[in-house]
Amino acid sequence: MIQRQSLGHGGEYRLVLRPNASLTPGQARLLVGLLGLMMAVIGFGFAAVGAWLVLPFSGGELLLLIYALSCSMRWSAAREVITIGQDKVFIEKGVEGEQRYQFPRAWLQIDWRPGPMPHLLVGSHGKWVEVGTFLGEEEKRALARTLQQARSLEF
Amino acid sequence: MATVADTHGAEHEHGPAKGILRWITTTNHKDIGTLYLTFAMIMFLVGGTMALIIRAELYQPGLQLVDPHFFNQMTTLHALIMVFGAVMPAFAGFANWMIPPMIGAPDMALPRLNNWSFWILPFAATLLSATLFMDGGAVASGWTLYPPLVLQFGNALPFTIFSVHLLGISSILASINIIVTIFNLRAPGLTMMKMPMFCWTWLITAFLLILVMPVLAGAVTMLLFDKFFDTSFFDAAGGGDPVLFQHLFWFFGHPEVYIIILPAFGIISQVIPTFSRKPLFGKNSMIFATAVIGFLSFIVWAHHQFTVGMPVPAELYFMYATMLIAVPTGVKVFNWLATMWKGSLTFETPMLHALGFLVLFVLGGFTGIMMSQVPADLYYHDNYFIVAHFHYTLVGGGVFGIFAGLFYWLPKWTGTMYDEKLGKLHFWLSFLGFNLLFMPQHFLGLAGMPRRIPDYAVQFTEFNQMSTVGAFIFGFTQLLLIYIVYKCVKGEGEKVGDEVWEGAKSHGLEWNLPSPMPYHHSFEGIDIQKAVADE
Ligand code: HEM
Ligand SMILES: [Cu+2]
Repeated sequence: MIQRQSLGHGGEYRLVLRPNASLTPGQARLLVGLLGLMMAVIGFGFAAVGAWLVLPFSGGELLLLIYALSCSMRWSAAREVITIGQDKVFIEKGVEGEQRYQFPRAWLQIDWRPGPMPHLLVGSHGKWVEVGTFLGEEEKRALARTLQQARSLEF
Repeated sequence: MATVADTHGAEHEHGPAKGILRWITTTNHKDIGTLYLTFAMIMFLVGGTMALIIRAELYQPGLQLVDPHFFNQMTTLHALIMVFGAVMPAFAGFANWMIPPMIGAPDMALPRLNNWSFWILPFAATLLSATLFMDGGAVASGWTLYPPLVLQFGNALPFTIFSVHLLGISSILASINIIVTIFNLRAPGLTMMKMPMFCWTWLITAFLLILVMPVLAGAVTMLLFDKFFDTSFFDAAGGGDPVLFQHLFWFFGHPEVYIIILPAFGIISQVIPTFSRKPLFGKNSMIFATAVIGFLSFIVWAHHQFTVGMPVPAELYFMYATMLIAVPTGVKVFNWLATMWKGSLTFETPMLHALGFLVLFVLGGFTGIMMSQVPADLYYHDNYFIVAHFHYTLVGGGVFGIFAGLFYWLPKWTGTMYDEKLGKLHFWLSFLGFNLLFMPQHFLGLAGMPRRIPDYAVQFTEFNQMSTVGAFIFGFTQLLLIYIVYKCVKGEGEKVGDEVWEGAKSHGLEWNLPSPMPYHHSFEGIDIQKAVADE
């Protein structure tokens, strides 16, 4: 998903790229808790009548679910923020913008690498960074076009 | 180093890597959906061939073709392969293809896990089939694997159990993926209640799978322990209880039959509105009914054990609880009927299969209510009435649901319309063949013919012959299905637009995407909230 935020003065703007992320950490805990509770009722119930071998399988499965949820939520918490400023383009990647890059706007280069999943890179002076990693192909194309235009924008 | 402007006009590769490696390494949900469906088709042929061997033997009383031990191996493997190798993977195929586009996600949440959950299957199925060639042959206990009988089989037993574990792991991985995808990857604005029915029924199915698979895994592991490690979970001589296995098996087994039917409910809930040109009647009540069915499926398991000598209060409880399932199921059936009521109906192949589903599933449901009556079940138990009943639900319900979904979405996947004439022919041959195959089995059961026998008393001959003829008609008709799908996949046929079915755009997001659905679809330019609100 691409969100465009105008920065008010002078036509500068910001693009916030995000993957879908419809689950909040609280809801995820609730989900794991409820499933864990039901598994516990079933597993301990059978253990009480002697069939204790159900429990290790439920436990393993619950751990796997937690792992899967946390992987997916980690990936979907990622952001890419591209700020088109007066003379610079700032790129922040990661959950809290851990990776930061900046490029002179007029010298911005855009590289489209076709393939089964095309890659979009921006950079200048030999430094490159990939953007739009979690966008679909068409959205990525739209982003490339936008960045292309941003190079020559007059503020 | 090219810039966008340079490459934009130029054609470049959109598709996936080439060759066999594409299919082995793929993490694309559409590829994996195709793999699942292809695998399911092959397993239908394998399990179907076994069914035809059974039916051929039963064409006449006496023993003609196979010996009794081999006959029992066939019934066991037929069921295990159909349930775990054919029907469940087919639904997983639909889930992979359709859930991401239906919820506006680019792919499944865990693509690499997705690859694994498919690729475990061929190994598991090969291992299971290979037990036929082991010393002493495959396990011949019936798919229920009851001890102490099942513990008497030799080399095949541990391999069968291992393959059941693998099949279970595959389903678990798929369910976890579906749960995480549906909860975390919905497009902004697409609330749970706005989600299409197919996603809902699969979500509930995934919950059922996650809750019951550990029970099956535990149960077969305990069999293994009893056989090889001198435990006595199920051995009365050591303080165990063989009936405990039945409780474990059916605690898994009853939800399992809903695992087979709920995704079909989902498909039917997509198909009927489209061909009635009306929105689904009572969608919220559909969701609620599905959840109630899912819940009830956990508390009725011992209706499979009415004859083991349960205390009367337990028998009564399981009888009433089982009858209760008819209520939410009735809600669904009446909602489908109300959807069609005063709709402008057309009868393309997917709709024919949906109506076939309705008729057959309702018949199977009615015989289910008959069997829920304890005194009546003391008679029906382990006779052909049961075989007729569960094939009406599993094949009439599950497999006809698969057919409906296949004809409904195939044009969207391939961009080509299937051959409508052949499609209709396939439906009618399947529908009539099916009824000729399983309807007489009701009467055989009522007349007292037991299930799982290779030979029978002469008075059962005519109905058995009808059944066998029906089986061969139904079986060979599926070769026609393969031909229809093959032709469509090769692109022989009319090209279709995005919408495929008249007015389909208002029945689901997927019809807004191009046909064939692009390898990496996206919803650029489609207002998801608006498209969903139309539904
Ligand atoms: C081509 C269509 C099919 C035919 C002709 C067929 C035929 C049969 C026959 C003849 C039996 C053995 C009955 C006995 O001797 O007791 C049987 C058993 C069974 N079938 Fe099917 N079947 C078909 C499809 C399916 C499908 C799609 C499923 C599952 C989704 C299925 C599930 C079962 C089960 C669970 C059993 C019970 C096995 C046992 O007694 O342990 N069948 N089938
Ligand atoms: Cu049941």
